Amino acid sequence: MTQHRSTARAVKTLAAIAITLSAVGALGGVAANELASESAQAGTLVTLGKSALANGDPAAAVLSFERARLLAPRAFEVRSALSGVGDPALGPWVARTVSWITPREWSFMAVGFGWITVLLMTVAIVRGRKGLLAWLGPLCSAAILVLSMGGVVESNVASRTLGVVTEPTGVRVAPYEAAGATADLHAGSVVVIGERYGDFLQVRGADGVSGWVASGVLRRVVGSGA
Amino acid sequence: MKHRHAVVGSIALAASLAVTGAQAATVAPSAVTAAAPAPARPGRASIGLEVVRATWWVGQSIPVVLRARFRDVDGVTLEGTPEFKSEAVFTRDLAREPHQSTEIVDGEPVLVATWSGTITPSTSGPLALSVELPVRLRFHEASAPVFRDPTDGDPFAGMDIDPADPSSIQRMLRSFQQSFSRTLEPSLGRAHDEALTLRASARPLEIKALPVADQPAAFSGAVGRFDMRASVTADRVHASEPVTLLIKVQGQGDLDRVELAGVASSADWKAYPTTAKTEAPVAGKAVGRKTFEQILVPLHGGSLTIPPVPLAVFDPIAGRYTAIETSPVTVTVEGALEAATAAAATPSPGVAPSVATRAAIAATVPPPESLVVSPRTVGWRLAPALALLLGVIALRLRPTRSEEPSLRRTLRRTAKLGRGTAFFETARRLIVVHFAKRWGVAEGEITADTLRQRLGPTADPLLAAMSTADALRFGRADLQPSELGAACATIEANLRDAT
Repeated sequence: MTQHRSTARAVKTLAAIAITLSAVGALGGVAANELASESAQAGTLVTLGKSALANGDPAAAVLSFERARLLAPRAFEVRSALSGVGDPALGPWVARTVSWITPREWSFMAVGFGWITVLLMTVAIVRGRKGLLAWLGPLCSAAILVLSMGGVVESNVASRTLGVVTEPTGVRVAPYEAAGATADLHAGSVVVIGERYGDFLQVRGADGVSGWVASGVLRRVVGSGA
Repeated sequence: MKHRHAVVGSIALAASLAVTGAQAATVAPSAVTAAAPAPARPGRASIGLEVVRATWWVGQSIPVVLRARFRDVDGVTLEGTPEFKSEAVFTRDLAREPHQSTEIVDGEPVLVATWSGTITPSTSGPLALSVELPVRLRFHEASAPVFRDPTDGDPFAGMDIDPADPSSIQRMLRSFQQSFSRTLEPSLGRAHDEALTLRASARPLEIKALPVADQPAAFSGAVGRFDMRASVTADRVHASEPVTLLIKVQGQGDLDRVELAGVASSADWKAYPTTAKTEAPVAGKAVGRKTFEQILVPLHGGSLTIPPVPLAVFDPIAGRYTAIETSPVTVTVEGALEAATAAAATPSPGVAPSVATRAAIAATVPPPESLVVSPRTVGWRLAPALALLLGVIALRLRPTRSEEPSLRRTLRRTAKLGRGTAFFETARRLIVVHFAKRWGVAEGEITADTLRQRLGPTADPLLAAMSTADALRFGRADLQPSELGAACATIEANLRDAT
C-alpha cells in the first residue's frame, strides 16, 4: 500500500511537471512568434514614419516612431529614426528604464515566471511540503512574477501617458482659452500627458515645460485621440 | 556661407615633403585666367581641368580631375569649392576637401590641390566645360625696390635730439623706423594678400544623344553598368504581415537616374511604392549604391514568389540598351491559402507616398491599442497555471474523502485473486479509515481497544480480520479465494451493521 501511494505521488509529480513544461513551451512558441511579428511591425512603422517625414508631416512621423519604439525599443533602426527627429528623453527614470523592455516582453516574463511558480508550488505540495528549499524556489519565482507584473503595469501606464503634438500650440498656465501661454510646442513634440480638465490636458515636455494644452492638438501614442 | 579651407600654412613646409618624379609629370593646365589684379609674379596660381576623352553619352557619368597649382606662396585659402560654369551639367561626388601634394617644377616646390569627381551631361551636343575656384593667396614680393639713402649710409643721422626743438623727437622716431625697414625689406620682401578667382576650361566635349531606336518602354534614363540584388527582411511571415523587399543597385553610373517601380500588385501581393536611398561612392572609387525599399503584403498563405524586378539600362561602353533584373525571392507565408481581402489601394509606382497611401500602409500596422499588453491578458495566460495549482491542491485533499470506495474495490479484487496478505492489509486499512471518518477522529485513534469499547461484540469479526492481517503479514501464508470471499462478505457486513 505504501509503495502504491509512493508511485501515485511520483506519477502526479511527473504529470504536473509535464503539463507545466508543455504550457511553458507553448507559451515560449507564442512569445517567439509574437515578438518576431512585433519586430517586423516596428520596421513597417519606421518606414511609415519616414514616409510621413518626407511628406512634411513630422507629427505623424514621430507618432509612428514612438509606436515603433513600443514594439522594438532596442532596435537601432528605431533609435536612429527617433534621434533623427530629435526625440527627447521623456518621463521619469523608472519609466524610461521600464520602456527599455517592451510591454509584451514584460507580459511574457510575468506569464513565464507565473508558470514556473506554479510548477515549483505543485512539486512542493505533491512532495509533502517538506524542507525550506521546497518553498524557497516558489517564493523567488513569485517575487520575480510580482516584479514582472510591475513592469507590465508600469509600461502600460508609461505608454498610455505619452502623446504627440499634432500642430504648433502654446502651453497655457491654466486650462482656459484666455490663459496666457508660457511656451510653444511644435508639431511632433512628445509630451507626457497628465490630468484632464474639460477640453484641456496637462502636459509636460522634455525640456521641463509644463502646462495645459487643448486636447485637440494631441494624439496619444497608445489609444486613439487624446 | 563661404567655404574656407586652408590648403597649407606655409609653402616652405610643403616644399620640405619628398616629391617623386611621377608627381612632377602632371599635365599642364588647359587655360588659366585670373579675375583679380594679377599677382606680382605670373603663374603663381593656376588651375587645370582634365577629362580623359572627348565623346560621351547623355546621362553618362564623366570622371573629371581638377588640379590647382600654387608656387612661391606662403599660404593659400580656398574661398569655396570648384564650381562648374557649364550649363546642362550635374556635378556629382566632387570631393569637398582636395587631396594635397607637392611637385618639383623647375627646381621649385609647387603645391598641388586635386579634386576628383564626376559630372553628368543632361543634353546632347557640344559641351564647353569650364570651372571656377575662388582662392586667397599670401606671398611676399621677393624684389625689394632700390632704396636711395638720403643720409649717405649714416644709420644714426637724424637721431639727434635738440631740447629746444620739440619736433626733433618725431624726427628721431621717423629716422629709426626707416632704418629698421631698410634692414628687413631686402630679405623678406613686402607681404601681399590677394583674392583671386581661378578659371579653367577643358577642350569642348561631344555629347551624343541616346539612341531612340530599340529604347525600352521602361527606360528611365539609367546610363552605366549596374548590378542588382533583391532580398527580403523576413522569409517566413504570416498572411497580411508586411515584408520589406530590399533591392540594391550598385555599379558605375549616375545612380540618381536609376528609378525602380518595384513589384506590381498581384493576386499574391499587395505592393506599395518604393522608396530609395543613395550612397555616394567612396572617395577614389567610382562605384556607388542605391537601395530601394518596397513594402509588400502577402495576401494568402503558401510559398509565394516575389517576381523579378527589371531595370532597363543604357550601356555606354557597348552603346546599346540592356535589361537587368533581380532574382526571384521566395517567401513562406503562413495562413489560409485562399486570397484574403486585399483591396489594394496601390498608387502609381515611383510616386512619393501620398496621405492616402500612408493611410493604406497604416492599415497594415497594429492598432495602437495592441501595442501594449494589459495585465488582464497576463491574467488570462496565467489562469491555466492557477487552475493546475488548484487541481493539485484538490487532488491532495481528495484521498481523505474518497479512499474508502477505493479500498472496498481493492478488497474485492484481492479476494478474487486470492492474495491474502494484500486482502487483510486492505481490510485493516478499510476498517481504520471507515471508523475514523464515521466517528470523526484521527486514524491513529482507531485501535483494537477502541473498536472493542465502542462496538462491543460486533467488533470481533473486524478484530479477527485485523489480527489475521498481522498473522499473514508476518507468517507469509495465503488463503484460498473462497475463504477470502467469505471473509470479505463478513467484513463488509460488519462495517455496514456496526454503529
